Amino acid sequence: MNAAALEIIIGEGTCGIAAGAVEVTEAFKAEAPTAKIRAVSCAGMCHQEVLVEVNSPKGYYKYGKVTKKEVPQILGFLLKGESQLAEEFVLVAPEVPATEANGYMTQQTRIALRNVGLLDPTSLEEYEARDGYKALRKILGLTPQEVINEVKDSGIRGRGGAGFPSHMKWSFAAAQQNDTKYLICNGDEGDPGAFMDRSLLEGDPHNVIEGMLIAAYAIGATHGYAYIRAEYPLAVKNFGLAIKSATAKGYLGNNILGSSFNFEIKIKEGAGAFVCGEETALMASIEGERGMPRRRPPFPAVKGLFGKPTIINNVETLSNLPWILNNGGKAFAAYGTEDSKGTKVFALAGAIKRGGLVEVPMGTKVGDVIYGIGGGSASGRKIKGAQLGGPSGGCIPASLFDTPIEYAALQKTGAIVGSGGMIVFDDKTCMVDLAKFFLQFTQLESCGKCTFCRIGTLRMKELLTLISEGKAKLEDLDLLEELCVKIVDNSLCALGGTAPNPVLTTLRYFKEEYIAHIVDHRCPAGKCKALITHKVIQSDCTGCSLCEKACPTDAITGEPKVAHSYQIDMAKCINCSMCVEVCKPNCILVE
Amino acid sequence: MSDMVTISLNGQEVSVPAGITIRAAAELQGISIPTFCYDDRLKPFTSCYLCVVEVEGARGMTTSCSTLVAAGMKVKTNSQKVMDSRKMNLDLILSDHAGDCIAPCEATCPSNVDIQGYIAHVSTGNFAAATKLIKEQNPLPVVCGRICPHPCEAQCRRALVDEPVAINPIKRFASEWELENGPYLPPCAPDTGKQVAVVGGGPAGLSAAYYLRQQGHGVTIYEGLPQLGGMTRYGIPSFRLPWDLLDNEIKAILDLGVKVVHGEWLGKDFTVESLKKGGADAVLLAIGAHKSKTMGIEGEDAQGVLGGIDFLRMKVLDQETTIGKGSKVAVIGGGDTAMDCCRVALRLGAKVDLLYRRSQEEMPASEIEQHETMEEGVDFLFLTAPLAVEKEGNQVKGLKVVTMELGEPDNSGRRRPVPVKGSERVLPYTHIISAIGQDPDIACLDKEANRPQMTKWSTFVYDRKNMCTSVDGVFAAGDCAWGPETVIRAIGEGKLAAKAMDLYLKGAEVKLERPYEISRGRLDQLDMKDFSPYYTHAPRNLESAFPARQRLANGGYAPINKGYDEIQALAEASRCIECGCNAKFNCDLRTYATEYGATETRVAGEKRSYKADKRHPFIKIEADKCVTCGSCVRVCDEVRNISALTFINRGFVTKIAPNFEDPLQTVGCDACGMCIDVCPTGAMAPNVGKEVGPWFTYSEISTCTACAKGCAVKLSVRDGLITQVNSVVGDPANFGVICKEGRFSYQLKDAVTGPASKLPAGRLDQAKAMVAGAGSLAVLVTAATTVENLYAASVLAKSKGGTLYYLSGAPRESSKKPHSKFEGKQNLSLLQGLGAKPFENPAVDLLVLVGVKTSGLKAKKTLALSNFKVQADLTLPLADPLRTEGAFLTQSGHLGLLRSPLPVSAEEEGYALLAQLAGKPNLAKLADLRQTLVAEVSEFKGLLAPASRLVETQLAPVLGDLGLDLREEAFAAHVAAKGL
Repeated sequence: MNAAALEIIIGEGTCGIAAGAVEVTEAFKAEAPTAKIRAVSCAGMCHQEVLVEVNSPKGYYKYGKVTKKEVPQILGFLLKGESQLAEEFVLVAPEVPATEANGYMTQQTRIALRNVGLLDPTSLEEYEARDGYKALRKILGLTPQEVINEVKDSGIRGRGGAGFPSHMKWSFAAAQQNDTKYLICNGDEGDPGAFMDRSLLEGDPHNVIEGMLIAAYAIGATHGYAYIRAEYPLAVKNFGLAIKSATAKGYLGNNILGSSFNFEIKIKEGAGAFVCGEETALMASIEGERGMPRRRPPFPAVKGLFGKPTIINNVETLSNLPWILNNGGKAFAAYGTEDSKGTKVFALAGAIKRGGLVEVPMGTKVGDVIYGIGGGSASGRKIKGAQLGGPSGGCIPASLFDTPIEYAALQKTGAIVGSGGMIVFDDKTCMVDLAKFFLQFTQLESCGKCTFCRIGTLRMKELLTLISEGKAKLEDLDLLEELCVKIVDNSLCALGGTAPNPVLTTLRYFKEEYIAHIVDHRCPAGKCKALITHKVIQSDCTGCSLCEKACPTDAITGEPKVAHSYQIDMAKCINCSMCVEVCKPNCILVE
Repeated sequence: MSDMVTISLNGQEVSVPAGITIRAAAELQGISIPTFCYDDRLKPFTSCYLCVVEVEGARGMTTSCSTLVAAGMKVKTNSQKVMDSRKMNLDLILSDHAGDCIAPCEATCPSNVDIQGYIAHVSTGNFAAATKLIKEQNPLPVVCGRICPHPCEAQCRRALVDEPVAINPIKRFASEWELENGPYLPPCAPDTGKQVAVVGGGPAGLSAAYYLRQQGHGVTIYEGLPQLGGMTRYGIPSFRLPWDLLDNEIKAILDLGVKVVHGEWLGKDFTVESLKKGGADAVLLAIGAHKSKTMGIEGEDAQGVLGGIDFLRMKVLDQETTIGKGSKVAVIGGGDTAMDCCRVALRLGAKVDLLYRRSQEEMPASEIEQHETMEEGVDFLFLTAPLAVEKEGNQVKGLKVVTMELGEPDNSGRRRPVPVKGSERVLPYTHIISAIGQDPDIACLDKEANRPQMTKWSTFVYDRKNMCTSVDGVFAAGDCAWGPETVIRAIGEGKLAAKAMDLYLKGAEVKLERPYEISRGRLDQLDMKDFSPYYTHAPRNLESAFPARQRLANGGYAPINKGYDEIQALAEASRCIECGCNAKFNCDLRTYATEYGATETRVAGEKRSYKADKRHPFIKIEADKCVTCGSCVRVCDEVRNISALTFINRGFVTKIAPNFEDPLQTVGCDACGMCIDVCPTGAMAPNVGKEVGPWFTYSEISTCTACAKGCAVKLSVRDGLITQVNSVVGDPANFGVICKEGRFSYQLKDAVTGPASKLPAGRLDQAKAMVAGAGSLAVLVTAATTVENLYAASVLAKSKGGTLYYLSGAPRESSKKPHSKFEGKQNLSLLQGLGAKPFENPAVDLLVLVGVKTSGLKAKKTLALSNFKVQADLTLPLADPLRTEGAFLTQSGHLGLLRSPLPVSAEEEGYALLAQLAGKPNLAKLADLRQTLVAEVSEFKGLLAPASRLVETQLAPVLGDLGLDLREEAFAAHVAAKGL
């Protein structure tokens, strides 16, 4: 077979590139110079990067975890009929039944992500070919109020975290009489482990632009800002290219598509402050001020950027809009529950078999995402719970995995939908340590304005440190809880207002772990360094010497290749658990 | 009138103007809400969250500084939740607050004397003020200057640089200087009619009397011994504390009107009960501890065994003792009393041994005492304890002693001495003085029907928070209450008792509270690295002790050492590193922490630590005292449009600093110092040293004289010194914002010393002769001076048929700096009315320059009235700007009256000099000049109005090319509309 008959599609999102996609592409180019090679963005299957899809006369193939080593074999199989790759690489092939791994995609309902991973983000034509800018043409024939009504029918709520009904926010801005209004796309995605906005911005930028156009049209905005983290260079690049090509094509600028609608978009790169994801801080940042939240009222919809009415919508919210306008609000509302309509993208991560981006209808049970799409525990250990909604969210135990993903139901558990972070942990995760991790993050990212957030979160972190070192007293838990409540009550913005959530929820569901640290000086998960010891179960030791090589302090000694010979010098051991990671027979006891 | 809305405030329905904040509404109702980040001059920022209140239905707490009232709103400003929130807020801020609210010397002093404050006065040569300040806490500084063991010096932070400041010799110098120059008598309040009986005329009783008299209460001291002074007289030999000094210092207390009854003893001649019956509304028991502790050994009843304090008292009372030449005396003990006994016995001609059961290291007597006692020839037998008195008949023959060794530390932390077996021996002595401590002699209370409760140490059971004994109206202080301790402790106790009794006599709750104080830590917790490199090292000045031979000469009762001379005192005072916070008296954080009972320890943790930024010549930034309220950043940005300050970093380590942490003066700062005014703590402060204390100051609102704009300024004044100039919130002339000149150009020294600008003798006559001899005369003034000076200048010009010229300043800088010094010519309307002309440098015989500086003059001769050096044939000093009295037209067309808090010397005022030169001495008095002026220019009738900072005039100011910015125009319109 001729290589020219092959269409090779390689995922070159940031994650793919990090996994070696550029090398893989180079390898294909070298091995099959005549093949049609396309780069698309990340499809969200992080656990399978680098992802390679091939359209060949033999049919459609999808390979995961490809490195340049696998390239000759893929081509050998497709072109010369040589042996296929091992099963673990083949996700989709005509000759094999649907693999379990591919269920990751098939169990999703993709609206916001519908184009991501399928098209070349730098190609306007590919977007147009997939109904791109059709919604724009449609709204130009509608009144702004009709657009708002359509969005109202969809029931979509802000996907950035707060979950405020989008149409309602728009109505406030639309009602303002002002010659200048702003529409801001909030792409300052800062939650650790969340990357849906990045994926959308770099994978389907025109979709976001079209969403911005719809929102701008609805509220009467003529100026737009896309506030994108500078840490997302590919997103900034692709979005910039998209603005250029859309402007050249008349989708942006003055008299869009011959109408009287004018709209321009500027990219503002965020400098990496988490708090700039907060609306008022984001606006301050665009204005050239330090990114510090401001008091509301006045609300941005009334007096926002540069004192003008402003709407700030999240990337994911905007990404749903073209679909909603094309398919009707009711079609969107058909997904989800009474409380929460449509679909939601989650960034699934942690101790899970298949991590990545997933989009599911609202109302899907948490457990269905974790066990179904995510495939359950990666290690085979028991899954203990999940942190939903990032550092502002909460931890729920596995016993609550039947909770449907909707705003009200999740809030009742102490967690939130938030921007869609979903971090799964098994019984090797210490909840005190986890709470400390999230608190450390919010503490460092506090803008420093409000007393309780600036100092209180550090004091909480210090208390958690004391607990994790077994140095705390039971009264410290009361102080910790009091701090939580007061920080929630006495913070200007949601960063401080939600920072204690991981602590509050772990205290609610996993208090016994806190007490074990304090009273028994024991870390049940074996994580907290001050409270654990490492010991070789010598009867199981095979003498493989891997632990000795991994140990950074030379605390482990033994005779290589002599079973039962290894032991740990407690005086030298720093409890880093590096040996546990490498031990093949699993013979290092942590207690 | 705006609309009113009804809200519920702490359960009460109140009507408040619509559109105001909850905080403002509460304030209208007399409820004060704490805040750090709110200032009337700034937009609400809502960062400190201290002003929170509960609003029904609102999520979390509501910031009252920024939330507007709405009809039907239910607000609680004082619920438990609100109080808890505010307290934890303050706990958190304090947990990250560094500094010493008050210097450790003051904190350590048992009477909490403001040591840093008086040292600051001494360093500026103001010894009278220093002693006045000391006497606010300690009425016996001369006594203390001689004999205080100065625990303050042991905590002096200067020890982390090189050696501690010699605090006591400084005090000795200042207080003895004052005693020589006529002691300061504090004013006493009018008589309250209440009577206090003070039993005991020692330091505690005297101290109480001093402070009670100042409150207007009648005081009678009952003293059984012939003279007042207690232990200071009867327990301390006069070679250490000369009696003339003691007498004079006591006299300065009695001169306040204290009555003294001598020779009457409690329990013998009167009882507490009888004092009360006799009209005492309160009784203070300050009977001291005059009973020597017994050694509890065999043979102690022998002839020749004496109590230490009894021995010293006998000597003072001139009672006969058998100790003399040929006596061999053993003094038992290791304290100062033991040293004094040794030295007195020595002076009686005896051979003296000191026996102490521990080693020298543990000996409690002050080092210098030990040294001097040894030097004078007393033998110290350490680790030697008495076992039994050896007698011959009933006469002491010797002392059986045992050698000790040091074992495990006891409760006091000192190693417990234990006898060495078999080391007993007998030493021959004729006398044994047991100076191992004293107890109060409480037998005097045996007759009381209602006897105050006592502790097992024979001291009164009393509460340090109210100084009350168990009997109503009976207070206790000093050695008989606290237990035997230092003189300064007794003084402090007496002072507290006076405060408590004052409250009691006024019928108020008797509760003594100390304001919150934070400390950087005890000396041993601090690191020399953080101090030593930042100061110039200078050795401690020593008092000169006379050699032992000289001390013992002529009976040995002359003073044993010599204090500082003035140079030494100034030098030593300059060594103080001023560790107490400059905002000591003016810190919102401290005020609120006291009010809410907050502490730095409740949620203790990591603290931010920064070095003070003193690079700016006028402004000092101590970032580790910052509460991050951002007011300084905002006043610089919002009000001044300069933005020299900024927040840097994120998270806990967020701090405020000049942009890029460059020196503040290089990032656009024009040194208006508004950041200082809005700072709620001492984080932003004037970059000055000891010349401003910090002292407790009195505030005076006056008018700035740096230019003729008429800005209100708040002057902080202490002892004739202006220590700080601040803006006044709500001042209509400048919106509560003053400039660099107004704030920093005041002359601390000149304002006090005055004589520097005193007119030299004959100078005025010379000037008069010049004027008289001049054929043609012109007078040149600047338009930016007072109305009175301008008028007097015009009178001078007219008197010789000359011309009045004015020199206008350079046009003011553009609106970038709407608050900076005004260089316009707004008094032109008056000048033109008086026929003045713009300066054209006329060729005259004599040109009189009034407050102007110019060059290249055509006049044959020039006479200058000026504060600065000018090229002139004769210069008459014009009064210092801040001493000027007068008025001028403000920019808004109103008459601004200058009020000076400082004494004015009439002849140095510009108008007075001008009137004299004009040959019209009748105009040299301000009132007369104003009368004449108003008669001539009736629009100035406001000059005759009672003192008010802004008085309306009918005279339209000529604003010329002043380039007003819009805000000022708007303000003028506002003033006009309000009919001010």
